[in-house]
Amino acid sequence: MNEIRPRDRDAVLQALRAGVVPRVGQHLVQVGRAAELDALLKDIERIADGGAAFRLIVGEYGAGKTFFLNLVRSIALEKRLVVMNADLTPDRRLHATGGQARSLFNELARSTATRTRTDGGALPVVVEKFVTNAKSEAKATGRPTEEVIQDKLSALSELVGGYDFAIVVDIYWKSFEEKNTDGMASAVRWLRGEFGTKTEARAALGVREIVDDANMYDQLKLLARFVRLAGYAGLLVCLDEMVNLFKLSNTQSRNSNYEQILRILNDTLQYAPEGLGFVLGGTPEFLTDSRRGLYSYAALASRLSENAFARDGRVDLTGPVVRLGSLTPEEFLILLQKLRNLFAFGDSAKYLLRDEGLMAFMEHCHRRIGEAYFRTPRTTITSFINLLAVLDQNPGADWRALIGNVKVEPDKVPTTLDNAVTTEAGDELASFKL
Amino acid sequence: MARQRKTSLGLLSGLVVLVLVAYGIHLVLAYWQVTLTFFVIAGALWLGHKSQVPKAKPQSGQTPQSPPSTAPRKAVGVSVRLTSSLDQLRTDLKQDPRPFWVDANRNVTIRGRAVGGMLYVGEDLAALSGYSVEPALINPNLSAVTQVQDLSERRMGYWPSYNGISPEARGAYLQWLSAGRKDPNADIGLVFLYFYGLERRVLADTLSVPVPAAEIAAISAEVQRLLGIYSNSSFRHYANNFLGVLEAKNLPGGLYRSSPPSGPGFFLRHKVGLAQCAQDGVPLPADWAIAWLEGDTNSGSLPTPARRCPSEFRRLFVIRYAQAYGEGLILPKNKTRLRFDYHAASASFHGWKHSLGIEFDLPDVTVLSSPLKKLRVIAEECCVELSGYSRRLAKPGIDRDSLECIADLPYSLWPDKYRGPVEKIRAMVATSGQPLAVPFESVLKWIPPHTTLGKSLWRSFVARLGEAGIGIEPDPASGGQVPKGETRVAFFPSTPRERTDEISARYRAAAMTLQLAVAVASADGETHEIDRTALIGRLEEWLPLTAIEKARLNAHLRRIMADRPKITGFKSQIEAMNKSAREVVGKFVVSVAQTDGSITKAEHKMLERIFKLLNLDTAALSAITPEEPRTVVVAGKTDSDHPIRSPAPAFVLDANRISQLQAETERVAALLTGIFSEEERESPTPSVQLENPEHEGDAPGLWGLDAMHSGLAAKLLERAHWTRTELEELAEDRQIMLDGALETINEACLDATGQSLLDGNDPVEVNRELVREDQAV
Repeated sequence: MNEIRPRDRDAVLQALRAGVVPRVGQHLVQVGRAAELDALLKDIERIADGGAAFRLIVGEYGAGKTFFLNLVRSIALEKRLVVMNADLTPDRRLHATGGQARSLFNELARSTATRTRTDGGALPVVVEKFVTNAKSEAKATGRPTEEVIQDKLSALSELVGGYDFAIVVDIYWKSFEEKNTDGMASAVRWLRGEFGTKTEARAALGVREIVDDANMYDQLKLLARFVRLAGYAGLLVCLDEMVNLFKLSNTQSRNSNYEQILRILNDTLQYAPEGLGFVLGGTPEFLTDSRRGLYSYAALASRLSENAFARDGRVDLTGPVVRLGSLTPEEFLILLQKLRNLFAFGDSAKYLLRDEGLMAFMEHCHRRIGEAYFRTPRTTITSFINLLAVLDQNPGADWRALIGNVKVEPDKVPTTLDNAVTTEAGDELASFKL
Repeated sequence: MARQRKTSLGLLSGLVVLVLVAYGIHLVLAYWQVTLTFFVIAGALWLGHKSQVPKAKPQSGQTPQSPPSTAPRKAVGVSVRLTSSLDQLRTDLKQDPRPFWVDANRNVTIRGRAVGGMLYVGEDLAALSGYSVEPALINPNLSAVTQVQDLSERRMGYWPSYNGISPEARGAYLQWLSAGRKDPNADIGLVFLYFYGLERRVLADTLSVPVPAAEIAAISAEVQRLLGIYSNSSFRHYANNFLGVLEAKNLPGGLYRSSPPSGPGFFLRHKVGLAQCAQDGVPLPADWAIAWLEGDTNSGSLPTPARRCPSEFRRLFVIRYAQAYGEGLILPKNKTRLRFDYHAASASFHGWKHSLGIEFDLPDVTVLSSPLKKLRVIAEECCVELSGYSRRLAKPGIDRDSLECIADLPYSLWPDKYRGPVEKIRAMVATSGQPLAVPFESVLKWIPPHTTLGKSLWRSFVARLGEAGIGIEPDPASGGQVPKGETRVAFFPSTPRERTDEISARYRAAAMTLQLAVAVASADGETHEIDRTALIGRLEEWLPLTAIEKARLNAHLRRIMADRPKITGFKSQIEAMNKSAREVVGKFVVSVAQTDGSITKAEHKMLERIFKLLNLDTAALSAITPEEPRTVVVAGKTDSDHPIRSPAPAFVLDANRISQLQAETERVAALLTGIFSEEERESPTPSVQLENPEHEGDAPGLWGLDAMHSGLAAKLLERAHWTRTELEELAEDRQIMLDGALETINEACLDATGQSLLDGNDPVEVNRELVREDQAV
């Protein structure tokens, strides 16, 4: 059994305890979904080979879409991809005319992560890595750095908007040579798409284009090519909460967004932008609603329709849609086992609860809130971790007494729950000692 | 004959030079030592033939209207261009700037245009580096078009030089000069060309020849004038640094005692002010803190509110800053000395032997990131507070003085005319300790002007008063309506912390019960008899309330007692209650009616109405006839919020499915483990070879890195922590990009050992485990 790193363990437990999806170490608590992961892993490998990928992750509320996306993100980082991720909101869309698409790009750029910078904000790092690599190469081959950089950048110029992109990268390293921090800051601002007007960008950098609503996807393609030039394997873009597009009330703007998705889908399946992948997360209604969902757009409906034979447990993961079912009680039990294992640093001698304890916990939850405990397991998991924490810190406490006191509520604001469990358990123990 | 020979020779050497110049113009500047060799060889070649070439007449006067040589040169157009390129090779260029400088009092005419003074004019002044013609030198012999249409067109490249640019560009430059040097649309290259001359005059000529102090002052004023017209960021950067270096020598102490220089940008004066502040151990004044924040380019610009409503942002920042740090943040005295490196804009300075840097005996606090982070936290909090107001301002045609705006503005920023009445009310409720009920009309007199007072507007206004420590009843958050004309509102002391949107269902139930109870008690017109404290006290027996809820309930009671209480508007609330809860409310109302020992007819009638409203059987009331007083026992508490769930179906698990899932999960775990620790499995072969760092040259690089990165990694391993500043210094010593280098090292380390060497951003932590592991091996 490979050892569990304390840092990963704490990160996972803290996140779950707060009711959010962990950013690292998801592999420690992943349950099942082997086929789905396999499919995504192949996608990532294809991207790293210079191919392209497009996946739509569909699942009900609480089915673990975000968890799955984060896991994919972590895998991609380990495979040396650069990953950008963002949640769609009413103010952040794929297509817009009022700056909402640029805003999505801002968020994506801000979240740029690499294997060594998993927390985001790695866009300047990517640029510096590019220059650093070019310098090393220049040193090794005895050519001037300028020439090496221009050589590499010329590969970008053939893409839409590539010329200005190359100029900005060029300005970044020239500013560095001159120690002009203003210039470096302006260049990074441009790359992050933070220039609001062309005039502003022209005054600061002398370029005539900026990242705006219309060319945001082209910019992503450029970035994909650029990260490969900088020595990374490719670029993966994760977009969550796609249901926000479904919620758009204006038919026209909804359709333009779907058109953008169609463009991305067609691109990735046909022309294959080099080293670029998209993973989108959304609820089933976003996909299948025939009036407002993706299926309302005929061209997408035919491309995304699922294999008619793949139902009732049979799966087909060659299509772009990956369906995540909600957890079953059995899966939930395994999840609890994994958590117990994680809590004990993978050492089965230190397990705080035996399987019968887990069953008792589940039965208790089942009585309190019914099926919700495994369908939307957020709050149940939080209580379980709290229970383990109490057992851990109070050796000798009897789990039977504690489980009866565990309060579980249907998935709501989880913070009140923390206090409820710990104080009640604490009281119990105080009287026990007396 | 001589002319022809000259032309062919010129062509020959000119071609060599042109190729060199075109191919390596920036290399000349970056690696001038190398390319100098080429120049010297080419120069020597040219000098060998020079004796045969008639020497160009040195330009000594300042206003040659039309030199004799111009006309024939113009006739052979090509040769003019070539000879001008040849100028760059001439080693007999003049070093003494005096004959070339045209001061501000003179007005020189070039190619028919009076272009004024403060310029270098002539034919052969050397650049400071000595190997080319001074870029700012206006050579009247060179052709220039007479009229240019559009000055904003970019006609020159990076680091232009008057004798290297096209005749159109020269024409544009002369036109710009003669038109007062103020066309705001002019290409920034023209301004730079002019600026090059000023830069040289002040920073270089002063070292070799006497320059009157008045002239330096005039040039400084001129640059300031240009700054007022041209906002190009590059120009602003150079010009402000130029002004900085001018004033650096005689900056007074204690700059921080007065306000920092206003306007965008962060310059030497700011840095010196902050440094003096740290040196003197004085708390950092708020306006300097703001200047620092706004000048910081590394952490990105401040959120929108700071830019959209700067004055409100500043005022709020001052308040929050004082709350967080009292008089101000004490800056640490760090060891990095404040240095001012002047990078000249003009190419004339490239390769010049003098250094323009200035070192101060002050700590350079601007390299520290922790104080800035603290300030940024405050600034971002301020922006969050101001975000509503800022969004409001973004709408067109909004009046800053309207209630819509004011209600979005944090209370501490309200204009005095609106704060005044609020403060008065606060003083009143604080001294009396009792809620204050006034007709809403009197409130309307002092609240800011508005068109319609909707629910959301009233809600945000109430929230603002909450910040001032005043609560209001009715509050939409607690289910109250927006007050109108004659209704009364009650003010009561509240804590600013109270979040009005967290008012509980319990409170709403209590407020309703109370209103019904008062309706009964005042049915016979004797409201004064009710003891408010007792009423609330009894209510609390079955509904535990927090202190703030009690204060609010008291104010609510005060208000409904002043008005004639209504029993309408509770329908939806009552419908949501279950029967037992409704019964409890009914019983309470009855008990209130009985406090004075008897139930009058009017009271009985009101009770009947209330029971109907509560959807209770009025038959229960017949038991308590008006004549027959009877005690009603109040028991239990309302449980309307939590309907008890029906028991869930039986609990069973499928054992087969579990084992199947377990197997699948194991498979996934194996798959993932492969991804997340593939290197660890390879680690038995010792891949970490931390050699003695001194031998980095001959040993293969650490983790397969090249010599430079390997050296840096070895240096990093010496300590467990590095601050960002220290790392930046290390990077600067090595002339490399910090983030790029760290990324490269980290990646290599991950590849080799499966762990990352560096963690965190500031301070950066070094994973020293890797060293120990290696030493053990």
